[in-house]
Amino acid sequence: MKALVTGAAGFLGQAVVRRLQREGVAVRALVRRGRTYAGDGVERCEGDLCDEASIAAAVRGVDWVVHAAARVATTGKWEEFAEANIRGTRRVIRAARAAGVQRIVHISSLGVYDVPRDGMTITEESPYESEANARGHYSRSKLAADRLALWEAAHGAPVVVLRPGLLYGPGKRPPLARQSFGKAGFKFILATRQYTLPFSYIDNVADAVLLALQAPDAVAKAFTVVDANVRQAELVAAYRAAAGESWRAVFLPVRLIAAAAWGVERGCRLARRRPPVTRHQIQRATRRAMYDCSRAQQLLGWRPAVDIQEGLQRSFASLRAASVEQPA
Amino acid sequence: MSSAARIRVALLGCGRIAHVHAGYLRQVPEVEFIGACDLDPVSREKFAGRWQLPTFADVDELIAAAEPHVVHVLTPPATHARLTVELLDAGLHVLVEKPMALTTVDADAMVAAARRTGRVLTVDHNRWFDPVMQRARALLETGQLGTLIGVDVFAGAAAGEGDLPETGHWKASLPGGILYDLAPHPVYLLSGLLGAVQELHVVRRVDADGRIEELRAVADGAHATGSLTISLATRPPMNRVTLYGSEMTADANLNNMTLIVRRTRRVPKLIGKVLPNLDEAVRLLYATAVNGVEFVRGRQRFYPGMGLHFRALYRALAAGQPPPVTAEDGRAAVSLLQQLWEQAGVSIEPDARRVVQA
Repeated sequence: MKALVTGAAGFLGQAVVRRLQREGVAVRALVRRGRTYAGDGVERCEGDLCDEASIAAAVRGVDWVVHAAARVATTGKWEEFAEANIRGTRRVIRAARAAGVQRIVHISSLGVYDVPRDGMTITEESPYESEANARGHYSRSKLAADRLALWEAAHGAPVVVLRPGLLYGPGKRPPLARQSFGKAGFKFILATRQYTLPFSYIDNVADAVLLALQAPDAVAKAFTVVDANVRQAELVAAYRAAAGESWRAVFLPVRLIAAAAWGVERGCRLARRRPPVTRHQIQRATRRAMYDCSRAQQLLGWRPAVDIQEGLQRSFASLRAASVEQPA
Repeated sequence: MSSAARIRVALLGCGRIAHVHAGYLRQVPEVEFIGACDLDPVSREKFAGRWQLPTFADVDELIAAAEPHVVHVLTPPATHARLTVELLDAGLHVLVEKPMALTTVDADAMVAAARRTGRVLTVDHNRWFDPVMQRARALLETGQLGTLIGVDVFAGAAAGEGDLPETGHWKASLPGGILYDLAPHPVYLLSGLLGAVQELHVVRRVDADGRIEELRAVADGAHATGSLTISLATRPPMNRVTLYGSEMTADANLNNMTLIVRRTRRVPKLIGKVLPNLDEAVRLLYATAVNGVEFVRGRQRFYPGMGLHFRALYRALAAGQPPPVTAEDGRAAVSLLQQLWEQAGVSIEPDARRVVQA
């Protein structure tokens, strides 16, 4: 078997490449021109999501495509996001289909779901995020790409959509919260203690990708891929233990900050400026959602092999190892 | 209303009028306004930045990535028929900007596509919903006006100053430029009030360069007789509709948003010469004060009928009722428009891309 991985140099892309290689799958990586990416035993294919010809060349002769590439940034023009994330996804799917690729896994995100109320259980049948205007270009473009991928699947393309949660794993400091900052032995966290974070360990997601490439009933379906909905208070304890750090967690008053954000938003609207933060963003980042992964368990046979404690330990161990290798 | 139950609406075309549609769509409770689509990346970026919504590069992408229920077609008129039929065939409801099409052949194809697919096709006859037009129509519908005897429609614009060709706008390539763009509004007002027009006589006036600067028409309709004037030459450019009834006359000024009603009074002759003037003066003063307050409150905006049309349309769609402007209403206006151009010596080329003045 041979697979093309787009975004192979990215955090998830690298894990997917490793996982595929472990199964004996030959991997071709779509890498932007001029980028230094050299995965061991990976066939490098230069190209761009915005360049149709390069994508057509990249999908030629492969059995599977894992589309993990996306333009991820907090600034930039809408057209840049649309070109890479929406039209790029369409180009990859259409080229793969034309080349007779057996299966395409599109990596989406949990950000596509609407969380209208606190504490809701979210399944793949839950509605899409409705307040698109309160989101940034990236979220907006990823939501459109998710819809587009499923639309292409409904019209015959062999596409599976995976929606992983907060990705963490070796090589990257795990997130402590959606929004947090540290100062003088304190970590200020913009969330309640009961808030839950949908963690997805990078290798667990790579497992799901491999299963999604092969599972017979997966095509034209979306799958939520979350290891666990971890309570913020529990995360703080596990995080401190795994990191070997000793700071105090301070939970900020969410309602008060949401109200302040609302004020800022109103003020910016009057001044005809784009608000730096919106009430919706605060609410969205503090509204609990329980992500249900039964579909991935039933149809893909997926189980998270690495739990949060072990995942955090592995992540921090890798950071410590890296800092020993390269002292500051 | 929850987002799941709201009607997902997108725009096809990110030009000038798209921004007006966007502003009004945001105010309709039944609508989830989801984005827009345009071939031009500069227009897309401008729209996305102003409305903080996704924009798409073509119809396929719009349908796949945004899944709209309704699309507003806001492209140049010659493209309406093709795009509308394509959208209806894709299972979407369509609101098309005026004029619905350039020819009755195109309009018929659109109506047929709507019937075939069972989707809603409606036309943005927004001036029909202007507050003063609604009040004038209410006088007719409630019987206060009596029998409708005649209708005068006057549409003027201060065009011809030559600013259009430099803008590169598609209107610039049309004969009479803005005259062509202006005509659909008074035509659908006349068509809506008169019903099916059996007879139409048109005279025209041309300027020193031979371009049409004024068209006048008289029409014999199913409900009443009417006249229509479209003028680029008269100053100030007025937009008014007068309804002559057996009980009263209603004069709607679409520029100033005022409605003056005149009725027969059983008073001595001398008082009869004074009272109507005083009555009109008071009514104008009152209407001006009301409009002034509305303006200060930010409610008096351009194309006020558009917002009211959208509210009526989406309330109807949400309730599973027919739209307030049907595809057949749009087709009737296209037919009248086509007769107007034919008699004025303006021919529409077979490919309907351009129209040429004879």
